[in-house]
Amino acid sequence: MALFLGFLCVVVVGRLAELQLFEHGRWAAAAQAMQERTIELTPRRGTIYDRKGVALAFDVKAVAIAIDSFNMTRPETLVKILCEELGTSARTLEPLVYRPSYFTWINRKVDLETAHAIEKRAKEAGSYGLIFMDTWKRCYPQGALASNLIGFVGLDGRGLEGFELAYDAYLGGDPATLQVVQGADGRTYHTETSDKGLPGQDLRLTIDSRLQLLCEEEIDRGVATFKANAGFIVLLDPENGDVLAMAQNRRYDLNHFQASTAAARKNLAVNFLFEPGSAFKAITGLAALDCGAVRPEDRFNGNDGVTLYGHTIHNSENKSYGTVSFGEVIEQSINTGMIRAAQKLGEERMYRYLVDFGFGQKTGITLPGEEKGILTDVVDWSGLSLASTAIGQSVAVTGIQLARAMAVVANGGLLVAPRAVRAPAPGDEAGDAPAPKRVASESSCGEMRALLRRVVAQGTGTLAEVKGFAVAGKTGTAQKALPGRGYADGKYTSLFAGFLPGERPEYVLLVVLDEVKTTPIWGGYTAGQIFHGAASRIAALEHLAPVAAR
Amino acid sequence: MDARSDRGIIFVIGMLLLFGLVMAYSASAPFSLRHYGTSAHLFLKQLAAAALGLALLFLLSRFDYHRLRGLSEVLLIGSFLLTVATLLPLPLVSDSRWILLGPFALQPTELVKFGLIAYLAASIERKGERMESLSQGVLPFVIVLGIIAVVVMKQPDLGMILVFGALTAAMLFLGGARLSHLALLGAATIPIVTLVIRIAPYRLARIVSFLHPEAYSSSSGYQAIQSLVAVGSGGFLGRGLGASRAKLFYLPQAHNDFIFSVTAEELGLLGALLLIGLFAAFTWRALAIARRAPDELGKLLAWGIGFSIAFQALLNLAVALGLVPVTGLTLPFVSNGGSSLLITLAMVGVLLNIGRQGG
Repeated sequence: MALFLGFLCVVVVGRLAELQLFEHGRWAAAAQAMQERTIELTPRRGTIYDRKGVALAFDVKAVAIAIDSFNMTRPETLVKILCEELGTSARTLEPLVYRPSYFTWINRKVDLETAHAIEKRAKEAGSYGLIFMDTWKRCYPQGALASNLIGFVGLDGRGLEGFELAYDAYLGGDPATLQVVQGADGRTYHTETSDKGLPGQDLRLTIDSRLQLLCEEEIDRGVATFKANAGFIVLLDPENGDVLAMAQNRRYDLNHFQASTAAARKNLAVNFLFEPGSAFKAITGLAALDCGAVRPEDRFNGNDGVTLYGHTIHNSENKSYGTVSFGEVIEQSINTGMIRAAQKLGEERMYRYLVDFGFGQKTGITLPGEEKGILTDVVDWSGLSLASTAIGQSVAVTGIQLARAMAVVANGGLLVAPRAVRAPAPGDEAGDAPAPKRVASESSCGEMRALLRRVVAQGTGTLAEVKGFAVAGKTGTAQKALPGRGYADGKYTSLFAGFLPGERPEYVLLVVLDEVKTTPIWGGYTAGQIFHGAASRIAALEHLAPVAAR
Repeated sequence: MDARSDRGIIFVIGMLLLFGLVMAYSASAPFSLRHYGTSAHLFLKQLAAAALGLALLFLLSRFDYHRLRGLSEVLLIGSFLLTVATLLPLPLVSDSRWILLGPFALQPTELVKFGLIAYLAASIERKGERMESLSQGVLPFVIVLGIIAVVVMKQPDLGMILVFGALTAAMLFLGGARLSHLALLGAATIPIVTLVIRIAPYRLARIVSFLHPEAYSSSSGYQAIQSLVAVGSGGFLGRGLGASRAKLFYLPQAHNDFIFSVTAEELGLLGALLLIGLFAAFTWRALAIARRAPDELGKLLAWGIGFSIAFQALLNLAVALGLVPVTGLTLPFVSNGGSSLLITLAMVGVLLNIGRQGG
């Protein structure tokens, strides 16, 4: 008998050892799969502020609602409650509610009050099956303001456009990971944080929402007045490259981004490529002055028609100006004079300056989809390239590139890195941004500023003048080039690039209109007026001190 | 009287009881908390049963076991009638197994176990030489066992029938019954065995199917795989006292029938072996008492008590380890359940009395 019990005992101990020693790994894994869950907690996404601390995007608590149609009761009551509380039609809701699944999303961003009301009503009605989960909802209190800059996040909380996309990881942080031991009763008995995650960081923009709003209003009005296809404004601080406003007429309500079109979501100031036309003379002119190829008082033949390799380039409206100074070439935007001045500069030097001024390269502004423009390598230039480039043809630029190059003139020769996000911001931890690179001398920039002042005082840009603030700038009207098909008849880009006030400019302002349909189309007439409107309001808003008119 | 052996078995029983109470608390805490609002609810009842049981143990250790001779039939018949009562639609009956007595529930089959041991010991002693006869020695006991088995089968409590059967066979063998007659006894229990086996194929199939986690659906299969998960995940050292996850409602009956699984999960192979070692030591001491018993009655009683506790413990472990189908037996000293603990301690009291009178 004792032997019988002993035998049973050996069998039991043997089995015990088999389970606990040899099969331990397998059973431990089975236990873990059954009893443990890994839960990710999405942190609150950082807030996006403008430079003055105005919140442009922030997270609020919300509730994600889903349904378990296998365990629901009284579905018709649920549909009724959801219809009434969410304001969704039964036709939309019914397929969701009746979809045979343990988990179907009903609405992933329901505000707290509505969610609580739904929960309460469902409970009172004795309807089960709704699943409520805490989540975050992105709010854009300014609606469509700066929509081209801010962008939005999708339902899954990931940034899809603008800064929301460019700084997605920084804003979004990292989810915390929790290891949870759950009982078969569904309760949590033990929670261990395996990864604390990283909270979302706030982002401070260089944008000033008041200036942004003002520019948006002015470009809206301008686009409407001149029946343009589209238009945008870039407002830059020439000293440090801060983008103060980047306004365009195409906007969309960020809170209802689903209704937006791809065209509306494009940020024209970094995506839209255009030939700068005569406005480029401010840049090529600076190059000619800076290397000493030309003096402001040097005289050039300004009569119509420069023929190169059998191709004749005309002045605007085929005007002839006789012998004119370089100053007059800029002031009156005389193509033939400018080409002759460029010939003194030469291909190599012009190309070198344009590269130094940042053309043909991305500016590095942290906005998605920035274009680098088109600046053909000098070794591939044709005989006509020097002449056409000098007057802003055969090159394509972005608004931010052109504004930055104008900032070089404005700040006395330094190429600043345009930035839309203020420190502290990701990428800035490594230290301050590199010191702006000197690309032209103080004196040549001073000379060019004086010439650009003449453009507004008495040249092609008089409409841009703001009394008392000595606006300087350059007009441009460029026939639109279509990729691979040459110039399009009757389609123009009209622009005005300038700065104020006076000798120490604080604002570089670029206005670009695409396909103006009223006449005249001239940049000085159309964009110049928008410049005037925006600049006057900026001066008033920023309490700029007037300068002595010259 | 051998004071040394007495102290030895008292130490082992104390350890078993202590071990049992600790595990009874650990395993029942989540269940108590959920159903009664306090984690100590079932434990306090168990503690009360232990106190009552110890009092009973003390009394019976002073109560001359020879007086059981006259009481054995009353005990067996009385407990049997109580068992029959559980099958009747009476107000105090719960779940065909328990009779409710205030805050406690009495499980009559536990009492039957005690009655059966006393009856077998007294009757075998009285029959003496006649045990070698089939009609007078073995058959009457088979008939008694058969009647009890039919009633207990109705409950149904298969595990208890197995214990009764094994107990009867063991005591008859020890009492001088011929092996050939015991083989006949075995044949007589074939209907029961057949029944077990009729149920067994699908149970066995389920146990085999546990090894594949996708076959979770069936209830007894679920219970058995949860037990294996608990034991296996305990490993060598266990998750630590109180850290069982199986008891978080994954393993049904974690605080009574499957308390060994929780023990093995929390205390690992080391803790489980300690418990098995304590049972082995207890059995060894019980058999020593039987050997030294002053007379045949004492020998048979001590044997029956030691065997029934050891066999029930082994069967319980075999179930927890997936060696046999789920039968529903408590682990003596350890499982939550007042009746089981009370009767176990009472039987140990008788055992101690035999030890006192032994040489």
